[in-house]
Amino acid sequence: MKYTSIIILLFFTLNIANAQNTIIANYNFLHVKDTTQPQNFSSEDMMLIANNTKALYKSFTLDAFLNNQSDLNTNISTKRVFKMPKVTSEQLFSNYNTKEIVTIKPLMEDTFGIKSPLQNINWQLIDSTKQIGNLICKKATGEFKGRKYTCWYSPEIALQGGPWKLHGLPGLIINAHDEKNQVSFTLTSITQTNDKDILLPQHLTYVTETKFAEIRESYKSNMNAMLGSVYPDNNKKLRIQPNATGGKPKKSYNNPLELY
Amino acid sequence: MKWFFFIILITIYFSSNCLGQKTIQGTVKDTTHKNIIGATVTIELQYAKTVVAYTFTDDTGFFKIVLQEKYSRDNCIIKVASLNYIGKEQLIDSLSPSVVTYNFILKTSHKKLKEVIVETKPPITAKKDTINYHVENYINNYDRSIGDVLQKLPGIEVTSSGIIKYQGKPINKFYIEGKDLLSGRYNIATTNVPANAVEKVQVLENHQPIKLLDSFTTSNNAALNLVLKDKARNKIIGKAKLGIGYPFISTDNEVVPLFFANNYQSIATIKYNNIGKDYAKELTYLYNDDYNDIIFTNKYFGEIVYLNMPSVSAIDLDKFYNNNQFSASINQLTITKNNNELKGFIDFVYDNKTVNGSIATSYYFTNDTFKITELNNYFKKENTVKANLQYIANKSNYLFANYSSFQFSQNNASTNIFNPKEIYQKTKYQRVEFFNTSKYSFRRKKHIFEFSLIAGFKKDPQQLFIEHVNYDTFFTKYPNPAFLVQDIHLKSLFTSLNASWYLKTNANFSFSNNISFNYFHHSFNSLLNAGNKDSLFTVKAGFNNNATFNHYVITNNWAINYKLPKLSFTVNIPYSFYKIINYQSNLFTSFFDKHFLGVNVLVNYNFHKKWSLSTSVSNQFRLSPSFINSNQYILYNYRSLNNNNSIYPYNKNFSIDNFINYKNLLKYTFITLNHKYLKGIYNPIMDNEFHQILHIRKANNGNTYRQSNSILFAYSQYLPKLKSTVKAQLFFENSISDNYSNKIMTRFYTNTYQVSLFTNTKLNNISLETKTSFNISKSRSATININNITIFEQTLTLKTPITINSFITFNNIYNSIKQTNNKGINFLYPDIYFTYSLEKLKTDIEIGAQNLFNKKLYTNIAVKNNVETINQIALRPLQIIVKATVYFK
Repeated sequence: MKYTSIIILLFFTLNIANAQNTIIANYNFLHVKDTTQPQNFSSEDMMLIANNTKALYKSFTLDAFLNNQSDLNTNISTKRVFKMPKVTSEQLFSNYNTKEIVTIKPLMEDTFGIKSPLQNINWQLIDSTKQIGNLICKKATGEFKGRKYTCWYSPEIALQGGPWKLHGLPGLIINAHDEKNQVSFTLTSITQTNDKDILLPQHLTYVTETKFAEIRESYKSNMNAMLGSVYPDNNKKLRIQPNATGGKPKKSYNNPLELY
Repeated sequence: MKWFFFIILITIYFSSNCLGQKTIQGTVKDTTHKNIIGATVTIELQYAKTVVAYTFTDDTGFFKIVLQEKYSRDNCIIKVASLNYIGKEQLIDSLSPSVVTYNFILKTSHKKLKEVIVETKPPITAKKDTINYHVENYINNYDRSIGDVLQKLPGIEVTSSGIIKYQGKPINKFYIEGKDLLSGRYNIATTNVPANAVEKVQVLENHQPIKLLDSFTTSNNAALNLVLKDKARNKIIGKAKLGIGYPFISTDNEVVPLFFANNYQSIATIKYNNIGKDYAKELTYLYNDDYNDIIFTNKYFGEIVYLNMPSVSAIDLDKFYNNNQFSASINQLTITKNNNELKGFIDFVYDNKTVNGSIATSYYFTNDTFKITELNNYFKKENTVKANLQYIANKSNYLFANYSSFQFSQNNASTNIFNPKEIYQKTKYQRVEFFNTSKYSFRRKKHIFEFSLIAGFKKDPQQLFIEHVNYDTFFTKYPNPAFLVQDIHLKSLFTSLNASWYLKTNANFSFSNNISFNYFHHSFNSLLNAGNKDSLFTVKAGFNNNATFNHYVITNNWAINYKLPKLSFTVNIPYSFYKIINYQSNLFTSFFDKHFLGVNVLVNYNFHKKWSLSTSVSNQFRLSPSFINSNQYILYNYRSLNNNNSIYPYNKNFSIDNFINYKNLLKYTFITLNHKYLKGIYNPIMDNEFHQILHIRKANNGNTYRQSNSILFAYSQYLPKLKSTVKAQLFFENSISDNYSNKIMTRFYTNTYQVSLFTNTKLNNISLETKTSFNISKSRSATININNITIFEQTLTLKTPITINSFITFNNIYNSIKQTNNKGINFLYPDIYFTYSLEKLKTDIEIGAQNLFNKKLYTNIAVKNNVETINQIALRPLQIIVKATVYFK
């Protein structure tokens, strides 16, 4: 009887584990950062790990790079320098149940979390259907952070998640773009995993947005002090300036993702 | 009173039910009564299937939806879904109370999502010099081969002969998965690689196929690469087709297995048909791997005797070919352990064709107009075997390549001509050719050294036999020989040794020098016999050639390359020296020495992100095949006789080719403006004489000029909202040519205007493709006006679904020809096909009726310079074919 109970318990546990199925959706993210140069759009492969209640959105390119590098570090002991790709280091962790979003920002060796409420999007469901790949998708439009988005969602994948901060439709968001075609998220593939849950990174320090800005400034000052002690004669050259004005001119971007 | 209140209460209750808001609530749990959190709950109108409200379950599995007043009278459906559970739905009656509760229990689903792969890449993306066309945006359910898709891509043009052009220039390589399996015979891929096996078509701009030379030279041609889907790799794909029909027994069959893996690629094709299809056309070289200009121009000419086949370009061959054609091709490529390529192919073609029609040719000169009209029943039987083996080590620091090529071809052709009496002529032709090219290049710091050796052999025996021609006493002292036989033996040995040195002085500048020693030994014998059944007449002197030629050609090419990110140019200064020693009938007759110094310039300037300009200026000297400078007559066919009077013929060409290209990848738009100027000098002057039915061309010392100016404007755009591609072309050409007859030179001017429009759309699963072209040709001299011709051509292909598994294809060609002095001619060729797909068996069943309502004859008129040709062709009768095609997926 004891064993039977354990087996039944195990069965239920497995069943629950199955029920906690998670998807990994890959998106191609295009963004015209500077409207004076619309042909120079940035493109990045992003990934969304999502289940019924939570979602983690991060750069697929960065993830692949870090995984590769850890393999290289363990396998090859060469001094080759691998160039870091231009990617988004920030991650977004959404909890649709608690209506909360955590922006995860790595800074040197620390990782900070900034909590904020998950902003609802007032979606208008449009009576329009189209097939994307082998999914039947429905259309919705909504305004979020100053941009009017058109989305195609798939009721066949019953999840309220979507790329970046877009969420709240009765099906996974497959495709989204703003009305000026300056921002777009396009699903490229979906796979399913049996991961039990989606977890926040370990050793996360929660701070506010203002506090995070302060910490970042202090990191830069400390770095200059450190570089100054290592290279006392050349510290000008190596100085990291909080508001850089010299050196390579910083690219100007007039079209952020969030307009307000 | 009680009753009154009761009625009021009942009314309020029902009216609130009918008109007020409705609240729908409940819980969603699994079979173990565990709450399902975040499940989607949607309310849809029962008939319109429109979602009118939705929500998600909270952490207790509870949901609540307040339905808007306007929907409370409608029948609705509540749907509950959650990932990994089987969804449920239930009808909400319009008469249900204002608060309704539904508790759902969902069962676990074992259906996995792993098959869901959504590929919704934009139609075009680009990275550096690579442009990616994502095929899924252009393909529709009806496209079977990648060739169907290629012509829809903006910026890409596929000509009627299958040549692929990118922004107006032919591609210089065709790769499948980065490998050149087909060595320039890329129509094998475009017609046989399944469209749904290709993920993207890549255009590699400014492509230099030899890695070693990449930073040393400039290329302004692009290459094309097919990137396959994962599911098409490492397994056999392709198709097998069996077709049979009326008139009995029409048949069309093929087996095409293809295999693509990382280290091995293979395409085999076996095709047989008698319905007029020319599948052997796939095996034509569209670029040459081992092209060497000196070898190419100095090899013997090939078929000297020829018979005219009635032919037209405006309609497909399968409208008039009566054929029996078998073709087979095996192409293999293996990557060796050292990461080098070993590849080869064998092609075999047996073709037996008949074309019936008439040819009317008019030659206009100031003092002469020669018109010949002949009814022509043409028959040709040919066998060809081609084999090629290549080993290539194409590395960034060295290149080693060896190409071996063998060809044997043999054909017999005959014509029955009525002009107006019956004339019979037949030709026999045989060709054996073998050559080998070895190339080795290596890099030492800033230097590249390259050596190559080409050696080959070619033999072209051929014969022309003519019967029942009244030549009077032109060939013999006796009138009316019953037959004439022209025998020709051509033999050629050739070898070429090349050495090149490249020096890169800095990141932008490089210099190169190439020196080449070439030797050719040609022997040319021609013999004309005339006779009756029992005896041979003596042919008059002057009709038999017996010559040997030794050609020595030394060339030196000095080049500089300058490359900046936006600007690159190459200047070539070729110098060539030709020495020919000629023996006629074993007696030394002449020397020929000729020097030529030219300048070729190539400039690419990307003056804007979307705009680029390229110019090439070239000077060319080409010696014509040496059999032409024999000093006695050669009869090409019953009406063409030539004598080159021991004059060494050559061409000098000067050309300017300007391109302005625009591409906007965000708007999927490509524009090309091309201006071409060509001025050619041809030595000698060919004097045209007409003697009864003979057109005699005789060489005299002197030059004739040709000149042409053309402007092409090409616009193409993909419109994603309309799922359509639009291509438009405007073309204008003005050409001048000098023609000489009875010592009078006449200059002819020809103007050609063309407007063509191509559209393709796949809206609502309907595919519509139209091609429209409008062509005007005007040719005249100072005193002669040749017929002005206006041709309007339109082809339309409509494919529309009938059921989920079937569709109808409707093809129509409409041609209208208008002439100044004659009545207009109109043609309409509709074909209709019904296709049914058996998905489980991966099979298409097609029934097609071709050549519906055909007229018996098709007329085609062409005018170029002083020659007007009117071809009339007997068309194939109505045919009905049933085809079953199995796809290996």
